[in-house]
Amino acid sequence: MKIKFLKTIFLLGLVSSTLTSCVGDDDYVIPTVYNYAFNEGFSSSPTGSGSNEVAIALEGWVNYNGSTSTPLSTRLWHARTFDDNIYAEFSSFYSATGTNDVAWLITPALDFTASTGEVLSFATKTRFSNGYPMTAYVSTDYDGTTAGIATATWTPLTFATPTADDVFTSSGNIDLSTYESDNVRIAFKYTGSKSGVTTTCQLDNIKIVKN
Amino acid sequence: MKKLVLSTLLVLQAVFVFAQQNPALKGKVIDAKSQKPLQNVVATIQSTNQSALTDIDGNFVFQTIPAGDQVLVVKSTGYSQQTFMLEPSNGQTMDLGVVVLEEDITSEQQLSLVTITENDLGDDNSGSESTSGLLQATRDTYQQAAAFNWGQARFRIRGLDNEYGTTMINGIVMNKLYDGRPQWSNWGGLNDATRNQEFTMGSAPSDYTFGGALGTQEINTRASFYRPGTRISMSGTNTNYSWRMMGTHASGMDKDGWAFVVSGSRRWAQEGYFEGTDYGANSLFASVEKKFNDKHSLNLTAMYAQNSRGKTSPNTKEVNDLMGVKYNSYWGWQNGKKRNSRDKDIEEPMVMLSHYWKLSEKTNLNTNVAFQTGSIGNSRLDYQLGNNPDPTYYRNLPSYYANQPSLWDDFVYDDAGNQLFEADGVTPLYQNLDAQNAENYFKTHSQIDWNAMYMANQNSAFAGRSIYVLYEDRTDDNLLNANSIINSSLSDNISLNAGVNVRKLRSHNFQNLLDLLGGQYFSDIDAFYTGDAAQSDLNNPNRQVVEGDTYGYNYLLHALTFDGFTQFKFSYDKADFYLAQSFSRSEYQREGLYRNGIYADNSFGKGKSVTFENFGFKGGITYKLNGRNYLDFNGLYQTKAPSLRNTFSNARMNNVITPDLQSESVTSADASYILRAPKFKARLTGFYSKINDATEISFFYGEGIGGGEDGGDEDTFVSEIVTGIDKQNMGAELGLEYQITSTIKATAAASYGQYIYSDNAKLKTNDDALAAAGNNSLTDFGTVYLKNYHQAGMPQTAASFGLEYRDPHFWWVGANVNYLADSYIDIASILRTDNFSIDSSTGDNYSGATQETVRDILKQEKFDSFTLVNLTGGKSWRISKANRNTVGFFASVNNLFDIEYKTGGFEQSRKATFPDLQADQANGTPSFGSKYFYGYGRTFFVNFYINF
Repeated sequence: MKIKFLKTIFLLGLVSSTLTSCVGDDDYVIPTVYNYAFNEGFSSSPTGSGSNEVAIALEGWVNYNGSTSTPLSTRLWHARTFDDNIYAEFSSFYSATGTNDVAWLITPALDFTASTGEVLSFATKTRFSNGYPMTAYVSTDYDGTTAGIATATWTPLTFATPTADDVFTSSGNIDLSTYESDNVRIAFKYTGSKSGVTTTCQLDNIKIVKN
Repeated sequence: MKKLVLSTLLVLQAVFVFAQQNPALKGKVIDAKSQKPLQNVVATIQSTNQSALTDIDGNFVFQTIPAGDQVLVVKSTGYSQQTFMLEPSNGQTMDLGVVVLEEDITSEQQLSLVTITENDLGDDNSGSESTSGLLQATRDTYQQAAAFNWGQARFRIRGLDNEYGTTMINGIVMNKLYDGRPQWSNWGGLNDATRNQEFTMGSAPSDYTFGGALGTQEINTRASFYRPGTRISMSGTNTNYSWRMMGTHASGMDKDGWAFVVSGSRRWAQEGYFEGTDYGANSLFASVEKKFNDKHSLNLTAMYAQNSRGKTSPNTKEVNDLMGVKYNSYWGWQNGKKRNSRDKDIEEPMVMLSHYWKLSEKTNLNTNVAFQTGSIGNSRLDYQLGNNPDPTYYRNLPSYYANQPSLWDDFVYDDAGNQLFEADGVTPLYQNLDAQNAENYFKTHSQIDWNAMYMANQNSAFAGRSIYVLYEDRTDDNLLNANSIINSSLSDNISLNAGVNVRKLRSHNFQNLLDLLGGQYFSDIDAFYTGDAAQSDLNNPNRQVVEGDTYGYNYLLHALTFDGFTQFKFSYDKADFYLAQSFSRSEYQREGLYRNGIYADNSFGKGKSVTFENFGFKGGITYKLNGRNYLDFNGLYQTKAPSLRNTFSNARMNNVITPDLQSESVTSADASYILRAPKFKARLTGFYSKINDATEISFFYGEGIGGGEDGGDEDTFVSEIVTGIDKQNMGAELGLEYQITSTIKATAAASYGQYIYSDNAKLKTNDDALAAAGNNSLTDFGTVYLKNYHQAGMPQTAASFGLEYRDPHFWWVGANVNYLADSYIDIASILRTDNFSIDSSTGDNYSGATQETVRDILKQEKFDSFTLVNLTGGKSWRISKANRNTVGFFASVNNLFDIEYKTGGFEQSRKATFPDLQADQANGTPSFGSKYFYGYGRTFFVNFYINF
């Protein structure tokens, strides 16, 4: 009796330990592949050169100059190319005398509700620096209209800025995982004036990685 | 401690005195045919593993046996075992009288069917073979199935490589220091002479060594242990060889205390199962023993096994589809003969002097000194300023053209000569005539063209300088090996085994020029580089070498290892248990004989020596539920020094020690239920082993890995160093044997395992081209994502069912059916790094690389399962009434239904990034697809023998 019991215990233990912890044929891990909630490198945007500025006009984006001066500045973030790479650029250097610029470039609404671990990064480059002009924000209540910019809640984001001109510098990883909304918008705001800050600011590779 | 020893001695004394008066059990063993006494037959009381050997008159004696019902097993190699149920009564001697052992006619199978699969896995020039586990099996049903039925499909017991087993001859370890694997060819063809073997499975205790996680195999060549007589056999087969002749004579011990055994064999084939695989092997063996007195005997063993064979190529699916699975790209016609460019030659004779010293009735000391010298050579073609002579070189294959979109530019015409269009009637249909031409050309030029190489050498731009030569990668080893093993019964219940083993190796590795193929000299430079970097030896630059010269690389490896173990075994009525521990020290050093032009500072002279100290513990218990039912548990933890091969990551070039190198650790455990009833025997075992921090080094040509020069044909020859590899092997194995009637026996065996990489590892590469350009030759690729990939090269599931009929009139037939499944391809590690999916210039995914596409392209190929049916049979006749002279034959057919199956394969590493690999696979026939090995189709083996 005791033998039968011991035998049964042994066999059960063996079978159960063998059958559990099974690894299937599709359980292997793979090298890093970034999974993007959002990825914009402006590579499809038509570019201009010299005084020909072709404004960024991507589906769902908002590109608007909230200039408060008289006369108003109407210049917008525009696409440029250098070394086979396309990026968005803004500089108050070419704005009319007496104007100021509050140039917003706002992403389409992003849905973070179905994903986790969202991390934002982008790259910026400066040229002819006389002060750093750009700030970045996140919002969950922006309605997508130019009028709504002023009424939405914009939370500023902390990011790494270039320490020298003419080098694209990564913002570093900005954790957005706490924003569980289907209306997340990232905004980039250039603030300058013909008589004040005229630094050329270039923006590229806006990416949000998710799990 | 002293007290214990003293009292132990006193107890021994008492037992001894008592025993002299009244032995508990005795018997006499004779041969059924000759009616002569049999010496060295083992009688074992099953519950205690207490055993006794028969003396020269066939008598065995047990001084004591435990109380209660017991099972006695009497067995000897080549005989059917006898089992007795005993009911001992106290104080009285049980006399079994005469035990008659019948020759086991099926043992002919074990002497004949040692299946060494001949393909080298990968393009590995190591001295050893990758073969199926332990080759000859004991009587355990499961092990027999593993060796004889599944071995042809490269089944490995518990999924473990041979380096985790220990193979010994007279207790001397035969595993090579270079890669940890035994070189079976060193005693190949000596089946008769190496038939006295003992096995242990898993970490179960061996009397000779601490061992590893797989098990141990001990071959005993003591001359007096062989059954006296002469045996001559002749075999024909269609596997790796066609014919085998073998002869063996054993004298038995004469009255002056001399015994000797001689054996010799020859195996040969003009062409084995695969095309162009010639085979020639000659083996000689002699063992002489002199018994000086009851205490001392000396035995001298000499072994010479020479083996030369042509290798067979692994092929891509494209090549196999065009040429069939027997196709071998390594040979070509020369003067009407098939000449193989990839020969493997092994010739490593050894002598061994053994001293047997019976210190007392209870204690034996066995000391052995062995010396082995000889060489292993693997030949290959080398060339400078010429085209690659490999007929399957990727530029010779249709896929090279088919994979170039620009070549799909030929209009298509029907038989009447009208051009064909797409359905719209306007867009022309295109075909790729270059690919078709390449296919036609390859089909008629599918072998090595020796004549073209002779012609090229004659027309060389530099008169007399060969463009093509044949060379061999040579390893000439001198190995001195000494051990001493003590075996002592400390008391009735406690026995001690202990041993020490010292090995000193001098291994000379070099490139040896074999054949200038009609030229007068070859230039010893690496034409890929210029200036100093092109020189293999700055101390002797720009040499012109001729046949028999060393060139290319030339270095020594020195190794000095020591290991020792102690093991205590305790034996009681209800349970046996044991504890063992080991310690080892390994010291390795490389000594360069050339000053390489790329590594001028660290290639010549002695490099840094590296030392590893390792230890191990193991223990286990056998719990006897009763005389028939047992539970058995074993556990092992040990650390294991890296092999010489893995210690020097770029040994051909420099003295550098593999970065991040460390000892691996091995943990293993198994649990078994064993049933031993007279008609029914069963064993069910669950096993688990974990290997941590293993190292693997491999070499290949790669694209898109470092150096900044991506794409195109900027290929670079790199060594790949993967460290921190973790493997986990778990599963269950089952063996059943049921004697249905006295003549019919059914056997069943199964193994279900899961052998995986249990975690990710680290990968670095060494690239000589980087060093030649003055940069750091090491590139760190960071994590290699191996987790949950399967270990390659063996079926992880196997099952077998067999029936055997044994007629009392000395003939027998058997059949078994085997199912083998869950075998996987060897994955390329470099493809599993971030370098594969992330473009280093942008830091972002390569275009098109998503979780889904990357997962899809990196899926590990699983080979189709298959079923093999084998038939065996034999008969023997007695040719004289007076003695046991017999003649007989044994025949078998393996893989009766000629099933085509893959035994292994490996991914190529050349297309190392996602876009490159995707482009290569785009039209379904990659230029760098995986290469495969195939098993034998239907094969036969017939053996005739005479014993007298």
